[in-house]
Amino acid sequence: MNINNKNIDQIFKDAAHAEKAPEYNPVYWEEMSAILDAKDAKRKRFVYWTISGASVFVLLLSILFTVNYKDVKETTVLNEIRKVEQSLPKETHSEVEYNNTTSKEKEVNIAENNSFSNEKVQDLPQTESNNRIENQFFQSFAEAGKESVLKSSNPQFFDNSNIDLVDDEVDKSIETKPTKAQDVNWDINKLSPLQITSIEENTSRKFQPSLFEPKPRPSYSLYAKVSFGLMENYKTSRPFESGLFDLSLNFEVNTNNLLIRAGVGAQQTSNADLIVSHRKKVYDYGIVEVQSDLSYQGLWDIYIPLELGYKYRKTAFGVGVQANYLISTTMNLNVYENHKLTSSEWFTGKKNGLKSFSTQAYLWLEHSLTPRIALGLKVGTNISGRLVKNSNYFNNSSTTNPIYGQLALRFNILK
Amino acid sequence: MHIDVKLLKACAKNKRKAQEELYKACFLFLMPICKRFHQNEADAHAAYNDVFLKILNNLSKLDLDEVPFPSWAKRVMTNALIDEYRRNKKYREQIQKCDEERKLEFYSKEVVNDAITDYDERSILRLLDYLKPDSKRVFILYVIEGYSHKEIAHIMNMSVGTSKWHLSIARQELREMITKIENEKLNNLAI
Repeated sequence: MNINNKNIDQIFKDAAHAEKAPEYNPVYWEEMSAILDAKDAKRKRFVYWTISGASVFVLLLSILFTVNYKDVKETTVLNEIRKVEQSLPKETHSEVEYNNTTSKEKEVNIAENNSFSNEKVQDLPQTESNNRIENQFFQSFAEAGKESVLKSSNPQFFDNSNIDLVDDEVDKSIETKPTKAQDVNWDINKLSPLQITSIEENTSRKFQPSLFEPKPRPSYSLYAKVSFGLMENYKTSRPFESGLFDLSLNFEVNTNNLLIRAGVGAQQTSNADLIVSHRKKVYDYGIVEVQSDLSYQGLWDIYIPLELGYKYRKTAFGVGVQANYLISTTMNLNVYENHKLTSSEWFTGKKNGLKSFSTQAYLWLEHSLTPRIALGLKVGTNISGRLVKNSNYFNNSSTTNPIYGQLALRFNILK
Repeated sequence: MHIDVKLLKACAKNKRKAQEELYKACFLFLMPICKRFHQNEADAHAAYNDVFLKILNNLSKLDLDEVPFPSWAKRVMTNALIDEYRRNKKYREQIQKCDEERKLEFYSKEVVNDAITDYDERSILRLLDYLKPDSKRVFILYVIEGYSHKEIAHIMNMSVGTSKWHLSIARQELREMITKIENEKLNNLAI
């Protein structure tokens, strides 16, 4: 019998088209529905943890920044006041004194003779301490007596044509109040926000940074870091079932508050439940399907972290990546024959089905508690999975890129 | 095979009832493809579930008013089956050795299996299981699914020449098998 190509093709085409449609069984959908439910639950869990994690991160960042900002504000004002006091030359100081005295005199005169000027001063927000300072301010020259003041001042102030000029002078006198620090004996803690702003503006205008100021040099530090936290379980995707513990020695370069860090560390993952499986069919008396599940529980890596970040006062934050090299494992080998567990054995040091190299990426936040100790937070995920692809093994885990969160304690060894 | 666009849009919005309807509808025209690529029912069913999940995941990205769903779904199915085949190639190679033994057994038998001598559609299609996996896939894609050699070469990551070679080998082996079956039938009739 001669069967040509066309016949062969036609025979199989006809057979395929004439084949009975497979019978649908509602049980099939139940199976599929369970898969979809699991997928939805996983997605919801991911969204929940991402939002909660991000919220905690932002909240923590805001708290730390608020604390830092308050600290900066107080320190800056104090420093500026000291700078003003120290940097004023003797003669300049006396000139300012003279100018202020004349301004004050003018102010008194204007206050008595031109009510609009007084109103202008009163327009400024008044607090209790502000009032007290203002009272001291005005008392200091009230004793001098109106007549003598008038004599020492320029008679032109009584000229109506100079009212505008007088107004300007009053404004200037208000602005130069900070230079009266020695006379008035200010209490910095009781300054109103307006006064603080005025001081900052004045000092920034009057005292430009010196051209000879040395450029900031990079600072270096060597520190040890210990981190511990929770990680999503590979098998179940539950975020609290696996543990992650790190210990590392790092080197940090701080250039103008930009941070670069690198180091070396060791990492232990506990209760990982990372499962890879191998299937084979054994043709014996009938066909036996044998499945071996390699359930990795403990994973030990050495790793090299690389972090980039920014330091704002006592708080630093940034991103990091780390390359891991798997050095050892603990593993439970479960063998199933026709879906029934036949043996279970414990191994250490096996790496079958796992990659030696893997990578992680994370966000980090750190706050210095003391010059030596800092407390940190790290949230990240595996970016390249640990499982070998295109091999005899297939993945039997719920996730290959688990998310983790860790608390970190940093100890500065050398700074 | 026509599937209502409204149903597809509801599926894209993750409506479970609509997804069930689509699952039933796709079962009729996608499950046979799975069966052609997989020798046993359980594997075919698992493959169908995997592909259905992929279809649902990608429905929202698809322009449902423009793209004909059945041909797109078939394409997704074929690609997924080939991908799955590639992933498990080493595992398949182990099984293939056993298949070779089975093939020898097939030829050595004096009396051919009753199921084959019956010569119905299912039995004819079962002959494909005796081919080498790559030849089987090329034959199915070219003859039954209607892909061109260029498309097969792209899907299976091989050259057009290799695809043609596999088709030729498949035809030759199938011809030998059918000839043998025909001869057995004639002998049985003579007896």
